[in-house]
Amino acid sequence: MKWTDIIGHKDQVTMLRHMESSRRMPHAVLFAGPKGIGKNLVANVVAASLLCSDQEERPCGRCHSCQQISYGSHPDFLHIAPDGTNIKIEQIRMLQQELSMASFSGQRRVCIIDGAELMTTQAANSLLKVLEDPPGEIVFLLLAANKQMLLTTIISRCMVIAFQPLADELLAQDLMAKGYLPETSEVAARLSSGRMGIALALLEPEGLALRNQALEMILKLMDSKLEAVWHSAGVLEKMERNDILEFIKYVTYILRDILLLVTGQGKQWLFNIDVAEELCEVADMWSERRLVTAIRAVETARRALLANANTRLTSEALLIRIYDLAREV
Amino acid sequence: MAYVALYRQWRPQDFENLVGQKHISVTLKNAIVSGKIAHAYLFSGPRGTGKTSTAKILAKSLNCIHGPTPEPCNVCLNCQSINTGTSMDVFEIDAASNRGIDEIRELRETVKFAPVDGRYKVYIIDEVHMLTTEAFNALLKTLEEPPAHVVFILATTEAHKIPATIHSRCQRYDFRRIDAEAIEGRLTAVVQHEGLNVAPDALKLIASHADGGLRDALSILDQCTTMENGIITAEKVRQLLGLIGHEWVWSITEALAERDFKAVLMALGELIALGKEVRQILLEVALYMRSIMLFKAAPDIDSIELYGDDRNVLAKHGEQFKHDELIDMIKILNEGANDAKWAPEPRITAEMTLLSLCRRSAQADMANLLERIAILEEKVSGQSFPRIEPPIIKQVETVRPPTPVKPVVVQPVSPKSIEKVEVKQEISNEQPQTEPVVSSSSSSSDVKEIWDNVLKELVAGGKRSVHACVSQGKLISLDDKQAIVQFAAAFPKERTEKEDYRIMIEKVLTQFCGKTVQLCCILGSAAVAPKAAALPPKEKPVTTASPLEEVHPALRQAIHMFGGKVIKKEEYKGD
Amino acid sequence: MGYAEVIQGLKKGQVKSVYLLYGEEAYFIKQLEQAVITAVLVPEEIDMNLLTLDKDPAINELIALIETVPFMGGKNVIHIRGTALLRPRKNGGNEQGEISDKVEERLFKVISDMPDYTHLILSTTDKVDKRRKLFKLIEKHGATVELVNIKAKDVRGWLTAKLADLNKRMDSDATEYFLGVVSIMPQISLNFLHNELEKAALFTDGKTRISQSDLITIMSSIPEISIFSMIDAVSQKQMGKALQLMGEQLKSGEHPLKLVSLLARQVRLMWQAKEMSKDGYGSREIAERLGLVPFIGEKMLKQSKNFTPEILKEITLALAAADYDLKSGRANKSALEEIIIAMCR
Repeated sequence: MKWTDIIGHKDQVTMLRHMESSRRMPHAVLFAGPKGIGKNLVANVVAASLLCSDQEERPCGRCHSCQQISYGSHPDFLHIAPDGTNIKIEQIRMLQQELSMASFSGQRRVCIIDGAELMTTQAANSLLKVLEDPPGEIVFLLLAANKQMLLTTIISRCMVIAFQPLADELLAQDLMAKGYLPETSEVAARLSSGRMGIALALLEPEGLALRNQALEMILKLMDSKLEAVWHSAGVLEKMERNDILEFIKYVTYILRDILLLVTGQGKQWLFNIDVAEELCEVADMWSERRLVTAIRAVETARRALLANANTRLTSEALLIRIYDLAREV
Repeated sequence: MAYVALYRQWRPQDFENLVGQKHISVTLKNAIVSGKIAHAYLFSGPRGTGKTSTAKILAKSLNCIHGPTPEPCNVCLNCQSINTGTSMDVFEIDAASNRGIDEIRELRETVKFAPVDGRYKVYIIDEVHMLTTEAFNALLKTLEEPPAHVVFILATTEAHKIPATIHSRCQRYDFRRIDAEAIEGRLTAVVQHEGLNVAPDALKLIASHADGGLRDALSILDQCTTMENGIITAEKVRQLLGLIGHEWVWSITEALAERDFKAVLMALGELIALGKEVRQILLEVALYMRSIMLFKAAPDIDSIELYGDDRNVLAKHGEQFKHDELIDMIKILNEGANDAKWAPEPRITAEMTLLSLCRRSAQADMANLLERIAILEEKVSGQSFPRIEPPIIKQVETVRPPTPVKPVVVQPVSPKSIEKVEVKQEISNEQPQTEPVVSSSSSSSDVKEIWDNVLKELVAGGKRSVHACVSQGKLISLDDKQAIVQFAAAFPKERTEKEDYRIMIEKVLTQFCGKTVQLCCILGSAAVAPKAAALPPKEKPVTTASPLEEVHPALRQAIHMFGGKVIKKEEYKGD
Repeated sequence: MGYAEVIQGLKKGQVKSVYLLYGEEAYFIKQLEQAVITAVLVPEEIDMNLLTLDKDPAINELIALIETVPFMGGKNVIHIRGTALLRPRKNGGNEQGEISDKVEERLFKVISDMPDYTHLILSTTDKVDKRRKLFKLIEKHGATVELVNIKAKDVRGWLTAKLADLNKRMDSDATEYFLGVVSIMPQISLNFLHNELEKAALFTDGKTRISQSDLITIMSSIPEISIFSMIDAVSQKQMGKALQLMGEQLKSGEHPLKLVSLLARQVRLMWQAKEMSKDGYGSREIAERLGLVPFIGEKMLKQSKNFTPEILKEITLALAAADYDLKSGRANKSALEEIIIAMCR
């Protein structure tokens, strides 16, 4: 694990490296930014460098500490992640216990708390105490996808470093460097909105399946009879909730792409760059107003689904809307 | 080795070093000198303005060996122990984590005992508004009759959450937002003392961004200096804070003025590639628009309220937008920023927001206001008035921004309506109008209208799933007793017949036809494919060219209601 | 009996054996408590002879306390804060906690014939049932004093007395400012005003006069004060200042609805003042009709000159809409900003 493994986040990495090398690491740092953009990787490299014993270059990858980290067995490197859907108070208690004992190496410890926004209130309050009065030398690295969900009291005790999704180009380049084809890398980068994790998933075989399904469905809706609605709704009903939400996301992307085309923006900013031609063809059937309406309808459906609305009904309603909008003049 | 954050190093240790709260320092010092110490203080104000620091300074002033003195020595054992938080007589309680009645009970027990080293026992309760009601009540008892040797200092960022009974027993001191200049001054002193390499305009930027709190300013400074060894410039500060910066904001503003969606998208795309947060983009543009609006309204306004201090540019931009346009745009941007917070794809939210800004119509706003007045009158007086769709000057495919949908009202037949119908005739002669709203009782051509209104009302009332179901049916007959809705499919028919939906629909029907009817659903093959219920009329492209110089039907309506005076609003007639 | 009466009586050396102090104004209650205690006891005696209880003792105990002769001579003062003895009785006679009839009778006897070496002070801010026998007895043999919230028109008198106590004077525009702020408060807490004046006195240590700007600097930024200053700023079309004041209130977490209602009240008063003036009423009459102190009435009238009736109507309607929208979640606080802007144009 090295600093060079990290893609993007140039400024943040510069800052962190400087903080570490000048020995000015605050004892609580919050990495805030969407999931899958690389926070975990950065945190791990930071941890490795904090624990590394080399004088010149940290992490060196060679010393005992770095070795232990690569095996995942460093006793002073602690890691907390959600147990199920959240981080429970027992986990924090155990952490406190662990910390109350002396460190193994006699030096500092590093603790990564991944998914910090998923701490229960009690867990958070318990952590507060530790952040206030840390036993011995320790650096906490909290990772949160959603800063909003954290207690303000926790945030105020951390140095906050914001992370943003990677630039499409950068991500695409990196994917190509990893060996993926240019076209697919391009699409994956765009569809993932700068999230490496998601991009890689999209590049798996069948990674684009849902997206393709969504595309197919929309094209069909525009073209066929009303039956298409019920058929598609039936298909959606059988899907897992997460899949439906993702499916809907792709519907949004597609509609938005058509919107860009309709408003004359050219292909530069399209998400679904690989199917630009097909989208161009159908763009004629749409108007700006109807697309905006359609996109809103999707958002409404998304919210309804999140609120546990009836899947079938919600899907049907959405599909009907799109069906109608496609035909309106 | 953990290093001490700048803000902690630079905590004021006496009244002299307390920044920006002169009124409080003076008063407290006088209180100490004259011996008129209150038994309970309430320190309220935004975070980072010095509440806790002042509380500790006060404690030292009271307990310093040389005291009570307005200038605690910070050297004696008492002062030092208070500084390190180890004094036996000064208790710092964090109400956020100790909010229950047990903690307060404990407090009440210890209150009785005399101070150990100092003259007073000082209880500092931070974020006191977080106490539970019971805890407050328990605390109140002690506040009502406090022992002579005890001083309470309650600190909070939310004074309005303190029960009045407690509030009235304290001497309240409001800590104000420290103005940017004072913060800048302090930062400069710190930078000089610590030998840090920071450019003056970087300090200025930090100060203006710190939102009145010194702690935040020092934290930002801290972060900046840990970023790197070189000189900290304003640009680097911008980077750290994720700020977009004037240049970008100005170019987006200009693109919006030109309604150039392409340019706007370009800027958005580039900013995202630079790693800027979508929400921040919308917020900064909104902030700038607001500055333009304020500047337009009051050109001599204090610069503090403005984003960026280049008044020439503000003036230039001010000419490109109308006041109401700006208000609308700011609203849209803020809503967009809000939506972007929770949206799965903030980028798309931003694109839609910016698109609707580009599609804004210039004249709609006056009509908007008048329409609102009409609706207000209705709410206030309980009558229904017809809502006339204001003619909107056509842009290329007008798309109205997501305004809260107003309920569509049906007007009972009355003399006024005749006038309205006539007026409508005039307008509709020119070009296709929006949804006719005026309808009367249940003649068959109006059945469709009523149904449309019902569907719209369901949407407006947020009952989308009901709407989705019910809109698959069609109202085919309506009389005094019954409303018959025909469905092509069994499922929606049956769903609509269920108690909850049925009652809801009957209620809405009553709203529009004025009678209490029973809903009756039937299946019929003759039913046409459900027409997508029209969205709130504003979303349809309306093309009317009537200039505003004409007496606008809504205005005429307003005149009718207000009794004959035309409100002269020059500013609406196009700046 | 009223507050003033009691004080007069104490001055003349007429201290009753039993006092019941009740009502909402805790400030006055406390003042009277202190007044009675100091009328009976010298400071050195307070330790031994004053007994302060936070709740009612058992009746037997109370009677015993009353009848016990003070050790060191002098008088006993028994002070029960937050007494529940005069709470409205629940229906159905004896409940748990209610005293038994026999014991009650004994208490009544004692109250009717208090030993001359004991004074009893009962105080409470809770409701009191005037029909209860105990109440009537105290009324007869001692004094029952109701301390209601002070009315706006009486604040001036209180203020004068308070300033005298503090050895300070106030400039006339400072007084106007102070009373103006008080006039906006739906309920006037004397404790609060007392504290504010103490602060002002401390802040102006070294000067004899408190100026308006002193008050503006040192007084707490409660929403009433902000709205007061805001309307002033608005009448002078100082949009920036008005917006800043509004912004501060909102940022400090004050609820927009509260600001809406405070603002609405002021606008309403201005509009009413304006209409009445059109109908030919003078400022005195206007003040009276609106239930305001005379010079506040004048101020309303003056301020109203800066707005046309149409604007006042528009603002009122807009505020009503904002109220509705805020409650139904359709609006956010920027609605208030827009109203301020409209008012300033």
